[in-house]
Amino acid sequence: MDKKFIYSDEELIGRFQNGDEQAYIELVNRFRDRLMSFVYRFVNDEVVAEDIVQDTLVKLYTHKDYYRKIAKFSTWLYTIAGNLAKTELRKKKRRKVTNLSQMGTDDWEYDIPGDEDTAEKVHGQFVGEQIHKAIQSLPDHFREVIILRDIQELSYEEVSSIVEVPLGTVKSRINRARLQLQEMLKELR
Amino acid sequence: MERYKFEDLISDYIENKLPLAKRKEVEAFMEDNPEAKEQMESIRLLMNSMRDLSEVKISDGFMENLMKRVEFEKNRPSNKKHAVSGRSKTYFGFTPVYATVMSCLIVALVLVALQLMPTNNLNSITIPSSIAEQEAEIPKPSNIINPDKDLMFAEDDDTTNIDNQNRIKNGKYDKNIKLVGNK
Repeated sequence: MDKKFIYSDEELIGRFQNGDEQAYIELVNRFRDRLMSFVYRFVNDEVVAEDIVQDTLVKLYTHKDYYRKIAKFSTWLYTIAGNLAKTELRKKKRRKVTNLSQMGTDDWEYDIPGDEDTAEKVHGQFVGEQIHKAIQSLPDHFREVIILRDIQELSYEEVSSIVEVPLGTVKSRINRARLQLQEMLKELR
Repeated sequence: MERYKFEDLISDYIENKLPLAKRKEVEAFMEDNPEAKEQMESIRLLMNSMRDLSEVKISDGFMENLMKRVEFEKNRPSNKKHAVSGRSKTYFGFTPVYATVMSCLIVALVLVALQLMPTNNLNSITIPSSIAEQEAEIPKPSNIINPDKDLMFAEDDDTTNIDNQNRIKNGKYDKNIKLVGNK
């Protein structure tokens, strides 16, 4: 994935640690959307997700010296984002306040495309939303690993490092999460 | 193979991580159980669909807000301190500035304490002149009985005098004592 870039993520953070602020901008550009997808699927609130991504990238700026080359940069960054997202979820559970972001997907507005393959696109959008909804109903520890593995397409080893859980447990959780999702989405086909 | 064992192997089968023998075992189970085959296919489709989920993009003002926050963090005193803490020297856990301030405070405290200490010797306490004048005005009594003398009189009248008892023990009686019944 990184081969299309001149510098790898690890080289960029190294340059940033040495004072190159442009390297920080490059890292932000590389990771902002990936982090947004991960956090949004995790907390199911676009505004909160954007705040968490921003917090993550600010932490990257202020705590750049905490990164050590022993770990992959993306793993380190996902760990920060994941921890912030988990903290937010815990706060949310404590508040137990239903807000607009927790509305069912039935309440969401859809952008209906107007070209010829409208039906196919609408169906794709519908399936996507149903999957998103099903993911939200998974327990937190299943949801996090399934997003990292199946949506972010990280390796099992990376997922294991990010969630700080043994590899075997991660594999087992992912398999069980897939079985639960399949059970929930049976009618979708 | 049992159902739960088959379910444990679904992900490994789809991701081609099973040894050949196990793979054949799973395939044999699916041949015998059409619903298991359907489940396998359903999970494979689900995984593909999740991979194709649309990416959630950040909003337009995101970068601007981020840069503002970064600028704010950059100028925050605590972060400036944090940024240089790794390189700066410390004295007893204090930065040079705080160490200087603390030293000045300690010197100032010592000086104040020295100023507050009494300079005269405690033994040579002088009585204030007003008290001395009052003392001079008090008249001295002339008929004071010597207390030691009174004590001596009391001792003479004391019947528990030890000397009397000794005299009796030695067989020498006082002339005032008359023996009764010894005719």
